[in-house]
Amino acid sequence: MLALNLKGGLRAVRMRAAAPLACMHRRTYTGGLTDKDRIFTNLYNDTSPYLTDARKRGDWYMTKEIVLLGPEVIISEIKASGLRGRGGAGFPSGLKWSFMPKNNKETPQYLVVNADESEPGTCKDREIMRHDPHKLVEGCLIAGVAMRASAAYIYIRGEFVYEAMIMERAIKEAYDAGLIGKNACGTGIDFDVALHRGGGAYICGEETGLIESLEGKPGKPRLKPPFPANAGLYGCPTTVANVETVSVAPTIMRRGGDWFAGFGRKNNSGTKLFCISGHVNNPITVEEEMSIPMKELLEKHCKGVIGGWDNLLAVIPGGSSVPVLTKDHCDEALMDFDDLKSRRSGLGTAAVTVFNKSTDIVAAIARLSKFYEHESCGQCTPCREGTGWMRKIMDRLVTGDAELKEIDMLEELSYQIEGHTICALGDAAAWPVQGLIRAFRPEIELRIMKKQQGKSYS
Amino acid sequence: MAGSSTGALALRNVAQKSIPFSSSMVETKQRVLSLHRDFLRCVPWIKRSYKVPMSEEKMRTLLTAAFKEKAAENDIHQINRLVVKGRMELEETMMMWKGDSHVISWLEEADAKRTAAMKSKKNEFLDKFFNGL
Amino acid sequence: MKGARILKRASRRLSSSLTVDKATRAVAPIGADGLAVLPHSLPVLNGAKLPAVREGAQMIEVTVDGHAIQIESGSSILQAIESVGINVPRFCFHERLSVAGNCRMCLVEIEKSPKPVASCAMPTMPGMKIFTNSPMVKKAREGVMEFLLANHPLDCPICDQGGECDLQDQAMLFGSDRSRYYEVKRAVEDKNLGPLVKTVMTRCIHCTRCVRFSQEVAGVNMLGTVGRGNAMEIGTYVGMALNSEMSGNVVDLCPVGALTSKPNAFTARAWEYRSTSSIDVLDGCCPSIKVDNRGGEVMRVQPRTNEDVNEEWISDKTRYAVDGLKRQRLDVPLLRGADGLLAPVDWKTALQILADKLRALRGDQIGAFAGPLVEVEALVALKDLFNSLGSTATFPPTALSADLRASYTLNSTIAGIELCDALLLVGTNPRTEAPLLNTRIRKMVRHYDLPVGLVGSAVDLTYEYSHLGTTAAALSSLLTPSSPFASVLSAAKNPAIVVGTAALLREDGGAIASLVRQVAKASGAKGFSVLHAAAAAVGALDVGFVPGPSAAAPSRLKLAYLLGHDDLPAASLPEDAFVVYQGHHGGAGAQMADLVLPGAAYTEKSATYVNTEGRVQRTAKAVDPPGAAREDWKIVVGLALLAGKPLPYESLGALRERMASLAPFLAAADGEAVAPSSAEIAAAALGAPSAGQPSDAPLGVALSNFYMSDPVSKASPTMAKCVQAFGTRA
Repeated sequence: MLALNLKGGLRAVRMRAAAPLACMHRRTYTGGLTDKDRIFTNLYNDTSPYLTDARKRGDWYMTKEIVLLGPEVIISEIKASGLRGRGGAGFPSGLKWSFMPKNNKETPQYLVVNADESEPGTCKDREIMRHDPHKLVEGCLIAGVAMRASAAYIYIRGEFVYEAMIMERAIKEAYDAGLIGKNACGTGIDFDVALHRGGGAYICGEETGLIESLEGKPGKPRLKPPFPANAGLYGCPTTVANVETVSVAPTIMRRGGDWFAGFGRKNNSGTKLFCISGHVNNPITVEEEMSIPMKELLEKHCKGVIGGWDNLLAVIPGGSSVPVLTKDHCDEALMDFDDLKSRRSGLGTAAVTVFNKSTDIVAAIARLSKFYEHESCGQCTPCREGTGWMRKIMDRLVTGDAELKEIDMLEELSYQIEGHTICALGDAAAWPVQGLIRAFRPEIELRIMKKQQGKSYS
Repeated sequence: MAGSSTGALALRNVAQKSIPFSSSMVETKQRVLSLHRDFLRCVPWIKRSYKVPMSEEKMRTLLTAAFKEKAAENDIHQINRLVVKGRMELEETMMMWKGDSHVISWLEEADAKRTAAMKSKKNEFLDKFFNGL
Repeated sequence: MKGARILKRASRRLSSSLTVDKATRAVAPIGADGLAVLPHSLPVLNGAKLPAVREGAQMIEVTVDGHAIQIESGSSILQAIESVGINVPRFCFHERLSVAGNCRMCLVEIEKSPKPVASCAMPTMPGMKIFTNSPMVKKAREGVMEFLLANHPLDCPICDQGGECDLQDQAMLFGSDRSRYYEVKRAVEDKNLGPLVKTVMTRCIHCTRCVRFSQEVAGVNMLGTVGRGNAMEIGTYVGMALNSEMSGNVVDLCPVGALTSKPNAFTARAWEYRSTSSIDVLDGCCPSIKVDNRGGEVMRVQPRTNEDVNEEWISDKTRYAVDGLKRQRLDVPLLRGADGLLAPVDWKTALQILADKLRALRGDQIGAFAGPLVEVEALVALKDLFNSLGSTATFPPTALSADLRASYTLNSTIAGIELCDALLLVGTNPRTEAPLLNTRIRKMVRHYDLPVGLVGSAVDLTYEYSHLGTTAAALSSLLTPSSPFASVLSAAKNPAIVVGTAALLREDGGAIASLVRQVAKASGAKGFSVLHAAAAAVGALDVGFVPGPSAAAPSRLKLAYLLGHDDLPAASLPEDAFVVYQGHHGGAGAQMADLVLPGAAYTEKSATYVNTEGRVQRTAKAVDPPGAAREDWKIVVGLALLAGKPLPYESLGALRERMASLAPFLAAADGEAVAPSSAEIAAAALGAPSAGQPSDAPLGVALSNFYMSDPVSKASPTMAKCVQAFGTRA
């Protein structure tokens, strides 16, 4: 009965999926990124994370020359590389950095590095910080110079104790070697890097919430406008960038924007750290080319889905906040911003969570709802009231203790939250639920009907 | 003058004029003035018919005083009520439904009240004060 | 000019279409989108005041629901919408608080924006097309309203906010008539915020208005949010009371019944009140208030908006001391009998006894003392009576020279404090003497870093100030240009100097005033301002209720007439003096009196008061005086009749004509006309000669107890509780 209904449901989903979703890319992406093109060469801690070994890996090589190129050149190179923010939203980085005021003599400007990596399933920044910290420190200098910042704050997640220790040592090494601080790298530019350990809240990873938290207040997102590029940390122009975005900047500058743009599809260029977890044989964080087919990513680096590809149920392709994809999508999906967006999901942080058929997918999404309820800052109404309400309904859907019309109601609720909140947490809470209803509605309905039948017979 | 004293014209003024209730102050004001005028016009006829031992002048003054007594009334419902009652009084008087003593005693009481009020005017403030008015 | 015309036309058209634009929307109750067509954009009837355009402001054109309007650049979308008279629902937004943008009720649609935007927080851009009545807006509002109601308890029938609740009103407009929320509702433990503010935190919708008010206006960092998400709570961090002299305003600000008035809990419903627009006289600012009464009893006082005086706030004393109007009232004339006890008598006897006494005594044997709450009418009548009896011994609440008005009023004006760029406070604690002035100063310090200096006792003013010293010596040091604050004062273009009455009423008050004048001259200030804590003070000086040169000293009086005056020490009068007390409360004055004449309190009469800045305002009669109590001027006029010296007025109108002949500005008590003194007059006030040297005694403050400063507040049980909870604030 269950299998039958599920199959019917899946067929319906397949029929609903629009035909032109088939990818229109020019070349096939095999994802054959070789070691020579990998940016994070110490991802698995083969050597030491510290300065001596970092220099051997090429960090801090010709940094002075890069810095002396000046902001315009650095930004145009980043623009040429097509780098898009790696924190989830995928905003073009070169453009974002260029928003900072150019002739601001009155206030200092800041680069804030968002190392508050709290998205469930995501573990890429952590790998960078504990195994390749100098990439980040050097990135701070180069990105900071590009946006005319005088200092960089690295806001590291409070739970990352070990990573914070390594980062602190790396920063100290860089200071001692004269790479940052007064007259950084001998360029005549003063640039400071400070590490701040966060209190530990998911919402502190939102850019304005992070700024608030950094200022010592509760991490509650601010209203935009004003955008941080105009009034951010302590009211000064600020750019908040993800660890990975900042860390790849030095390599892009050394090897050229064209090199970076050579990977992946148009507008989705570069290499990317993918964090694959869940029902795969070998969960891993791996650097791969953008636009790699999802199937290839899982087969090649993770030794496949547990129980084989046909045992795949669904995949959350970009961290907990993006909608879940069914297997039919997974067969064809490319891991980049645009393709996943066309499948009504998203690349997000590229944290791929794999579910095979042993998963109770409703319970899995219900757990995510619980996470978002717990992490809502409580500032604005839809998110504060809506996340809790959604969680309560989701909990009942897991056991089928609901009515059929409540599925529609839940979907409507999720749309009532989405787009009506101050920050994106409301959207992030709504999307998994929407994705679940879109992809697994028959499964939910089946549970409810079963429960109701059980009731009526007993 | 002569015409009004025949009573024919006076009787014409007796009937209820227009609607019994008006909702606007402007209209009401006209009705009050009209009633007042009708009363004054009927004075010679009343004096003759009821053999009132008072000058027409004085009767007019007393009637006017009765109107002025209610000058402070600003509730439109109350004014309408008073106008209707006034019309009734006039009708009863003109139709000779009243006796001589009715009319004469009303006028004499009104006269006595007026003289008393004029006498006590000096201590009006204190009277009011002690009475809590 | 053209813009204003367009605006007028737009607002006319909008208000004529009342609910929905007839041209675009069908009359059917269900719209094309399947949603009920609700009156989402209610025009503010008679409201739509054209916003005053600031000088030099750039105007931009935006379109609101298809009507092009001109609006100052930088205005928020909400302001643009309100300027054409369309009402935008909101909970968290408040004109006088910072923008939080967290209730999400004011969402509107902007052309080309995929999401609805919060109109309170988003600035307008040229050419912006705003829609307040589109399906997207409707859906957003309905959605937000549903979320707000989801966890809101259904206790409207027992909620004190019921009937005047923003959530109730807006739920009627934007909410569904039934709930889809079948889960368990959130419950939150109530907080104890002290004797004034009652909390039912389960009703809270987390708009944070109270938090922002306490931080921004009241200046006490006591309220905040604790926890996050659905578990977020408003509260004081460690269970303290909300310790502020302005705390009652959070009750007005709270859009739901989470914060309600504790003294008024469960006493009356909003629709049972009869409101009277009046002014308060318990402090010198005389803020505008609304007196709500029910069944001849004053139930509560709420502020009225008056930009010139109180903006939208009132102090806790103004708001909560009114329960003192029902306690310890004098409601019948009392005469001290042979047994030494006060016994009731009738008015005729009481006034006759007093009149006989007055007839028997010479003019230099009688004297009158006015208290802090006395209105101008009674002052004029009593002064005229005493003058006709040959006495000039009329003592005002604050004995200052009445020669020049600029020398005893707050010349800078209350609202004018916002124009000054440096402020010196001398011998005053504005937080207790004029809480509303203090919030203005705090606003200026907060937004414009107004430098404030204080000579006097170092008190907590809720903002930073430089404490220059406690004695008058600090004033002398301001005369040396080297002192830091002197240079601040002289660098300022429009400095203001506010002197408290405590400094001027001392023995050496003349010397202090002279020092202040010198400081004002040296800094180029336009005169100096006197801050009165008593509402009767300026009025008394205005009508010349001051002792004449031949006035007898209190110790030589045979009859003392205390008009609401409670502070006269019995020792200052001779043993055998006949003391008359006329007033509304049985306080110290009534206790030492041989004859007590019950008067009316400020909610029981139409009376003229002049506030500390010289603004002439009138109270309105909300309820009748209790028992046999009479309006004060009538008592004096009746007494004059019996004493054989009839006054030339027996009606309020005639008395007010007499007032106007004494001081022409008293004629129109519309509360409008008040202007800072002209430069010449202010300079004349500065030119008075100096007298002696000030003593070394530290400068005090006018009020020793903020919560109990006058007969009404002294009788108030709520104020007594405040003293217990918060102390005297001295």
